[in-house]
Parts: sequence; structure tokens; C-alpha cells
Amino acid sequence: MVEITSEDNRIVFKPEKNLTGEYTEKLKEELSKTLDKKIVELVIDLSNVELIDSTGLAVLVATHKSIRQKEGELKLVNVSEAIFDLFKLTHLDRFFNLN
Amino acid sequence: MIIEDEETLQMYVEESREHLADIENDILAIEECGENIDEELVNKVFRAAHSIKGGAGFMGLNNIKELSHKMENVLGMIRDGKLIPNAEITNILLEASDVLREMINDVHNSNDVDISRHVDALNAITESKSAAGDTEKQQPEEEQETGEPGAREGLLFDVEVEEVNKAIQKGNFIYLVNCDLIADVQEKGKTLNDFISGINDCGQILDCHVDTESAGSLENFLPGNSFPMKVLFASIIEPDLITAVFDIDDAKLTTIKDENEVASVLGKPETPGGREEPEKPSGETTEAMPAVEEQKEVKEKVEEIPKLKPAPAKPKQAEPKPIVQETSLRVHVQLLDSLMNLAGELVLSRNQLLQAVGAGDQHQLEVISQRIDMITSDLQEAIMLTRMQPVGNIFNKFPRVVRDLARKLGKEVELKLEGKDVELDKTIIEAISDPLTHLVRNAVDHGIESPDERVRAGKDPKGTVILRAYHEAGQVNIEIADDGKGLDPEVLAAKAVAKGLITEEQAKVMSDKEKVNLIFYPGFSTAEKVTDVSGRGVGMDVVKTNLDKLGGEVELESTPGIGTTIKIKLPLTLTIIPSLLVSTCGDKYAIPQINIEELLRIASSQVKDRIEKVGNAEVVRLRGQLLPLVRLSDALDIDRIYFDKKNGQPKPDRRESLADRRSKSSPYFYDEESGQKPVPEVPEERRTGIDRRYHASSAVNIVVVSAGPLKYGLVVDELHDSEEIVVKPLGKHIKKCRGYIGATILGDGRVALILDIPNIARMTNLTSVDASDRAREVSRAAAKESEDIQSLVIFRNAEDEQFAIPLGLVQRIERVKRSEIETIGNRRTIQYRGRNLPLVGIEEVVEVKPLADHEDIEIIVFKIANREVGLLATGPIDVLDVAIEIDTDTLKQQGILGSTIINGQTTLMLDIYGLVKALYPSWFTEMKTVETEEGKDITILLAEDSDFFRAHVKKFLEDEGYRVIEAEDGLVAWNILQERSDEIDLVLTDIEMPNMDGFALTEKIKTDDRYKNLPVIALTTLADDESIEKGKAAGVNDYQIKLDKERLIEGIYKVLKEQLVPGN
Repeated sequence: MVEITSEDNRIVFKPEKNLTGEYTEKLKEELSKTLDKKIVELVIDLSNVELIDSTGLAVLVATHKSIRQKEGELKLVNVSEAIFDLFKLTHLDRFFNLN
Repeated sequence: MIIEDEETLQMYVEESREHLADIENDILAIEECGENIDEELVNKVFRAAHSIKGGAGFMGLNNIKELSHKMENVLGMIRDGKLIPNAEITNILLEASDVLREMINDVHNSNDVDISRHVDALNAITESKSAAGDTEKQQPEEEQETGEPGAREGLLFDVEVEEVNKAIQKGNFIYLVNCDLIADVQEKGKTLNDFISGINDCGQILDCHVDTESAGSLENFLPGNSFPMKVLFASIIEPDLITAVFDIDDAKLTTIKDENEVASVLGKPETPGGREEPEKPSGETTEAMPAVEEQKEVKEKVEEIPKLKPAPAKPKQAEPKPIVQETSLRVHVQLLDSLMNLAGELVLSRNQLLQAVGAGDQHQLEVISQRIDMITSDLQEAIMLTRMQPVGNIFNKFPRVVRDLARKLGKEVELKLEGKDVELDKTIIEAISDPLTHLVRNAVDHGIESPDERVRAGKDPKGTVILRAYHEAGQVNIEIADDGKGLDPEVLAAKAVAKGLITEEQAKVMSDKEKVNLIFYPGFSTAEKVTDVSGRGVGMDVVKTNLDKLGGEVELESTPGIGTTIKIKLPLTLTIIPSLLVSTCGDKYAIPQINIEELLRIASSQVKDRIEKVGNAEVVRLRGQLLPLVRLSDALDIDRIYFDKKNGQPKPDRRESLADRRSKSSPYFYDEESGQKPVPEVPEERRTGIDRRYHASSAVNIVVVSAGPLKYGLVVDELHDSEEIVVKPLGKHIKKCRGYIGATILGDGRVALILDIPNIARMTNLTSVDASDRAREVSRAAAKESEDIQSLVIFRNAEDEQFAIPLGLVQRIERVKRSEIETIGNRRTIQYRGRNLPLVGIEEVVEVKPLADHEDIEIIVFKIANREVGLLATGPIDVLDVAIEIDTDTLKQQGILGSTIINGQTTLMLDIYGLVKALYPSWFTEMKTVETEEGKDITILLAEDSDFFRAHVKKFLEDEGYRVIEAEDGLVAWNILQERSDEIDLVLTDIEMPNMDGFALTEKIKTDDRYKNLPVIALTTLADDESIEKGKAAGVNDYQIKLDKERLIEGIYKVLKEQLVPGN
């Protein structure tokens, strides 16, 4: 359900569906696991994500902060237009590293 | 998706209507400006479109949003000078605004309206211009999102203060919203995307701050119940609606009022969480917004509708039915406050009243009744104010109507609006909108000619239509005037006959004015062909019917070739008006205060002097002007009655005219009918010697009223109090009585009719032209009269008291030394030409200051009762030729005839006969008077054009016990004589008179079989032989000098004796 590929210090996370409801919980757990490892770069590929709910957003924010604490970096890639707009409107585009 | 909340929708609709209200005229004005765009104006329209768009987005009214958005784009280009508005663009904009209005008026079905045509047209405009401009304009809001990062640490919001101010200046409201992405979004079943883009649709997110701290970290994931976000938001949506946008509590929303606050919010390093308890947004009125001028007007009237809570008056079910009529009204908060205040006062007073009634405290009751009286008036006034609306509200739509119509018809028409500020009751404003539209359309369609025609007729190719509102006599008049071809009364009449509306005979006797007013007949349409413009199956008759329903009146005046004016009079309905109560013939009537100029009461003793007849119309002399009089009872066609002063019983009053026979009557338009007739029905009144005319109750009460330019006096029996009355419409059965505008119920429960002052004037055929012409004529006559010049000897007794005496009476004037005067007994004499000349001093009889103590004394010598007598006087003695009018009331006493003003100084006219008689009564033998067989007084008709001499001679005669009928000239005398010949025993006539002189009068009398035996005595100032001869030839019985009293009385006596007691 979450496709994870890792190479060197880079882990790519690719959620397979929208970050809503219970799925966010699962995602959070998965992400927590990866954080145990030493990573420099965490990439979340949002190609399959059209919607993010508030908790989903909170998870992304929390992930971002956690990685920062470990001096790593979170990158969001393949952000859909809708989600990009959302980030832009909430000015989270300045918070996240978007690609 | 249309928002569920009917209440919110309604508010949006009303707001949008207001935005649309001016849009038309503004677009027209923009067109007019052309290249020189008035940025302010464009901005205003832009904002209007923007506001409508904003609200529509939030309401889910996609069509409205789409269309207004496209309009906004075009307007944005105009504003930026990328587009110069021409007629084409203006048309598209106007049409779009029309569709927008239609959709707003029927919001529920707005999404089904096909707007593609308009959208395409608007797109075509924008696309034909620079594509770059297009995208830029597509998102005009984005202009403001320029202040990118700059990321200042410590500041919550990353936005320039200026940017926020800019948003404020554009008419936006700035909100600081604290929302929770979990509680307000997720838990309400919304998706984040919808929530955010929903916000974005109805405004501009200036800045947004998601509280990333509260999310915690993955290790320590916090958000289960809270994920706050702060949004700095600019929107044109008003504070009372904004919470619905976010769907959050009021408490989480702060309205930022002004720039200072913006700075403080932005500059605050900590989270503005300290603002957890912000003031309620509803309390922060929109007035606080530094709105731009145009909006101010709207802002002044802030709606105070409880937000989102259903108003009890409004049914909540969202039955999709079109909203056409306005059901709510914007009222200034201040006004509402004062209403609330008054209501509070009323409650207090009620409590006091209940207490006082319970305690039976009379004094307290009085106090409370005064209080309630006051509160009621204030309350009434305040409530009336809420209903008044400027007529501009409907006038403003006409520039568009006229423009479109003129374009369609290929005419050039300019519309002028006057009196937009005139306020009318809301219901009337609403109801006259359609009839007015019809009339304006008519004026443009049928009234104004095509430019060619106009040029041929020598007129400016551009026609003018004037729409004018003004107050007049308590009514509001609205005029629609055009300078077009006018209406041809003959054509109209012929058409009416052809259509069988009237018969040919009727047409023949109709006046032009009646003919043009045929246009209001049902089934009459003047257009040659029915155009799609005016001929919409609604004729002028519908206009009239509609106005009739309002109690209004419509009148049409037209001059062929010059133009047509339609005047609509809107009456005072639904109102409470101050008025004066009067009564006539025992019934009370109310006269609207607004018609009343002043009240006039003419004491019975003054009636003869102040009320005159001009022709057969009565007039009153008021400050040198003549005012036509109308008797209320006559105007209303009531049998006159008066209340017998002895038993209070009503009796029929048969007096024909107010001006009794003693009054002056002017020769103009003299009508034989109008004279006085004997009153045999009430003989006791005449014969008892207590003349009713002199009784106080026969004073004449006049209400001076004005009806437009016309002023007249309404004669009533009694004047009562002023009272505020509630105007009730008249019942159907008396609606046709033109003299009334309504009825009211008085404090005592009786009904009083309210008089229609302008109509009463019309009913009695008083017109302003007539009245003023007539008044002018009469005043000319009056002026001529007073030109009658008298030679007066002016002298003094005490130094500061001036006296005058007619020169004709003076024999000579001597100057003597004070020491020459001898006092014998209590009489003073002086030796003069070997005889003793008796001397009289004015102060011996008249209450004046004594003779000044001068060494030189003037003695004015008179010949009285065949003796010479000297009047003591002091100089300077002067002889003046002056035109005088003698006031015989104010300073009259024995020895003084009256007073006048000469060279600015009050001067007493000396009655030398009275003076001497008081001192030397023995000189005067008892004058013999003659009595007729019936024992009735001898009546003398006195024809004399000089007021002064007439008064003088009349006094002589009356002193001797004769009755005197006065006439200003020979003609008047002749007329009076014909009417009342049986009363008159002798004619005394001056020689020199206007219209008919004494000789002519005498000749007429003597050659008429009926009167040839009537004695005539001619009077003159100086009798010269020639005129004596001429008089004799005419048949004068005797010739007398006016001021020689003895001889005159003697002469009269002789003549009468011969005449009445033949054989004696």
C-alpha cells in the first residue's frame, strides 16, 4: 500500500491513494518507521494523491518537522495541481520543498 | 449547488441589487467619458461586478459568477486604459448587466439561464485585446499577491501592510480568521481542497498561516483534535455573511477595521491568539470601512438584519419562487437606534400610565399624557423617515432607458433629471416606477422627432426629455416634459371619435386641453403603428389607472410643435399630516398645514374697509394686495347657515356677499347680479337696530391658503386648533368629490374631511392667471385712486405733533405775537380788524400736547357757522399736495378725523367742525333733518372718488343721522342706484370722477323716468360759475362746496324737504 524505494540516503515514498481518513494513520506509521533510519532525503511522491485532508496535511507537516530535526530534508514531488493550489493558498508552499 | 440558507441568499440578492442599481448609469457615464476614463467610476462598477461575483461564488450561483467575472475582466481592461469603451462595448456590458439583474431577481433559476451569448461577447472583447491583458485580468485579485516571501522572522504574517491597505481601499473587508483544520473542516465532512478554494472564491487570501507547530512531529503526532490555521483574508463579503463562508463561529473571526489595526496585527510577533475574544463582527459595522465615495451612500444605511438567524417574519422554507418585490428595506442604524430608544420610552410611559391609572392620580396622568404625546410624535416621525426614499432611486434607471430607446429609434435624446432628492413614501416610489417608465418611453418614442424632422422644424437635432420631481402644496409633482412635436388636439379628437370613444358633438365642445387628455381614455393609442417600444399593449389609460390607484393625478399639456408635459401629482396618502381644523356650517374640515399661509380675522367693524368686490368676486385687501376670497360653503355647495346667537339654533344665512354694502366695490367686471338684496327672511335682524354685521361673531375668518402659485382666502365660520391627523382615503362613493383629498377621524371620534386646496381653487374657477391679472388690475385702480391729490395745510401745535387740514377750509393764515392774545373768561380772543376773533386751541378738545411756547403764533382762520374762528398753531406752516389715505380707526377722537402719514410723520387730520362745536356748541343751531314717512333714516348715495373726501363728507352726513351708501365713481353709483333705488333718497355727487363724472351721472339720473325725481346735489371743491352752469344744465338740484359742512347740510335739508314733504 505504500511503495517505498530507497537508494543511498534517499527514500522515496509513494502513497497509492489519497491522503484521507484512515489511510493517513497508516501512512504516518510507515513514515515513522523510516525515520528511524538515517536518511538525508525523504521524497514523497504524490502522483497517486488527488486529495489530502486535514490530518493528511498534518502528517506531512509533522514529517517535515521530524526530518528537519534530523537535518534531513523532505521533498514533495509530482504534486497534483489541486494540491499545489492548496499549498499555495495556505502558503504552505513556502514551508514544504515542492518539486 | 445553491446555498441552503434562504436568509443568506436573500441578503446576497439584496446587496447585489444595490450594486446593480447604479451600474447602468455608471456604464453610460463611462461610455460618455470615452478615452478620458474616470478611474473612480470604472472602479466603482468594477467593484460592483466583483462583489456580485464574490457572493455568487460562495453561494454556488455559477452563472452569476461567470457573467460578473467576465464583466469584471472587461471593466478591468477599461480601467487600465487597454480598452476604450465605445457604444458596442457599452451595449454588451449593459446587456450583460441586464441578464445579471434578471438572474439576481430569480436566483433560484439563475443557473439555468443561458448566458453563453453574453459570455462570448465579453470574451470577444477581452480576447481581441492583448491576450496577456486577458490573463492578467482574469485574476485581478492576483495583482495584489505581489508581495512575495521577504520572510521576516517574528512576523506571523508575511504580507506588506501596504498591500492590506490597498485591499481595504478597494472596498474589501479584512478578516483575521482562526480556524481549525480538524474541527472546522475535517469533522464537518469537508475536504481541505474545497474549504480552501471555497474561501479563495469569495475573496483573496492575503496570507495564511498553518500552525505547523501544533502538528507536532511524527514521533509526537499531535493533531487528533486540532490543527489551527490563521487566514488573513480580504473580501467584499460583509461581516455578517463572512462566517458562513468559513462556516465557523463568530468568535474565531476578527474584522480588521482600519489600517492601524492592520499594522498592529501584522506587526505582532506572537500569534494573535490573544484575540481569542474578538468583538463580535456584527457589532463592527461596515461604516468603519474606509469605503470609497460611491459606496458610502450605501454604507450609510447599514442593514441590521440578524444574521443567519431566521427572521420570524420570513418563512424559512426555501420554496424556489422568484423574488421580485423588495421585501426589506435598508435603514440607517442610527434611525433604528432612535426607534428602539423611543420604543423604550414608550414602555416606560406605559408602565407609569398603568400605575397612575391604578392610583387614580390625576396630576400624574396629565404628566404622562404629555409624555406619551411627545413620544408618539417622535416615534411617528422616525417611522415615517424609514419609509421615505429619494425619487432618484427610480429616476436613475431612465438614462439607460432613454439611451437604448433613442439608439433603437435613431433619435438623439438627452435626458435631464431634476429633483432626485425629493423623497417619497416607499410604496409610492415602487408603484410609480412602471407608469413613469411608460411615460418616458412614450416621450422618446412618440414625442421626440427624428433628428431630420427636428432640423426641418428648426429645432436642435438633439431632443430633450426632462424628468423633474418637486414638492408643491404638500404633494410631490413629477413632470415628464419633452420638446418634441407635441400632440395635436384635433387629431386626437378625431381619433377618439373614430374609435367611438366620444361622439362628434362631445368633441366639438371640448377644449384643447380636454382633447389632449383624451389620450388617457381606455383603448386609445396614438402611435400610428404599434412599435415594440412603447406599444406593448399598455396604453396611457393603464398609466392613469395605476396612478389613480395611488390617488395620484395625471395631467397632460401639449403645444403642437413645442412639446408635451405630463404632470403627475402624487398626493399625501398613508401619511400623518399636521393640519388646521376649521368649521363651516357646523361641520369640521381639515386643511393641510402645508397649504396654509396665514390666518386672517377681520373684525366686523373692519369688514367694510377690508373686503371689497371686484366684479362679482370678493377680495380682501391684505398688505396692499388683493386676495381672492372663496367661501368654503360655496365651494362645497353647502347651504349656508349661521347659528342664532340667542338660541344657538342654526338658521339659513341668505347673505349674498361678505362685502356688505358699505364696502367698496371696484368697477371692473361689475356684475349686476352681485349686489346686495334685501333680506326679508330675517327681518328682525335688520330692523332691531342691532345689526348682525357689528356683532363679534360676524367677524370674517379667513384662512389664507396657497395652491402652487395661487394664493386665496378661504372664508370659514370658525377656526379651531391645529392637529395632526391621519389621512384616510375616501370611500369609493365619495371619491369623485373633488374638494377633498381624504378624511380623518378627530379626537372626539367625529369624521372630518380633508380639503383639497388646489382643487377647491379649480372648482371655483380661481386660476392663478385670473387672480393675478385681476389683482393687478384692481391694484392699478387702487393706485389711481390714491393718486387723488389733496391740498393740505400742515401745521403743528406742540412741536412734535403734526396736524393737517384741507386747504379748502382755510380762509387765511395770520401770524401774531403771543402777547396779543387776550384771555377773557376761559376764552381766548385776539383783536383783529377791529373785531374780536375767537381763538381755539387743539388741546382744549383733543388730547394732545399743549401749544408750543413760541413768541410767534400762527392763527389759521376758518369760517364756521357763519363766524370766523382762529385756530392757534405753531409753524412751520406748509401747504402740501399729497396723496393720502386716511386711517379713520387708529387715532380717531373728537376733533380728529383720523390719521395719515405725511413725509414720514404721523399726522392728525383735524376736524375743525368737531373742534369748534365742542367749544362753542351754541354756535350751531340744531340742524334740521328730514324723516321720511316711514320713519326710516334718509339714505344718501354719495359718489366721490377721493377716499379722503368721501370719508369726510360721509362723516358729516352720518353725524347728522343720515345713512350713507358710498360709491367710488359715477358708474358704481349708477349701478348701486339701479339695484337699490328704493332705499336711496338723495344723491350727492362729486363732479370730477373717473369712469363717469358727476355731470354724466346727473344726466343719467335725470333722464331716467324711474329716478328723475331723485334730488341730486353736486359737490365740488371750488365752485366756479362755469361748472355751476353746467351742473344746472344737467339737472343738479343744488351745488355745494365739499367741506363747507353747514351749507352742505343746509342744502341737503332744503332739497329733501322740497322733495319728500311736498307742499311744505
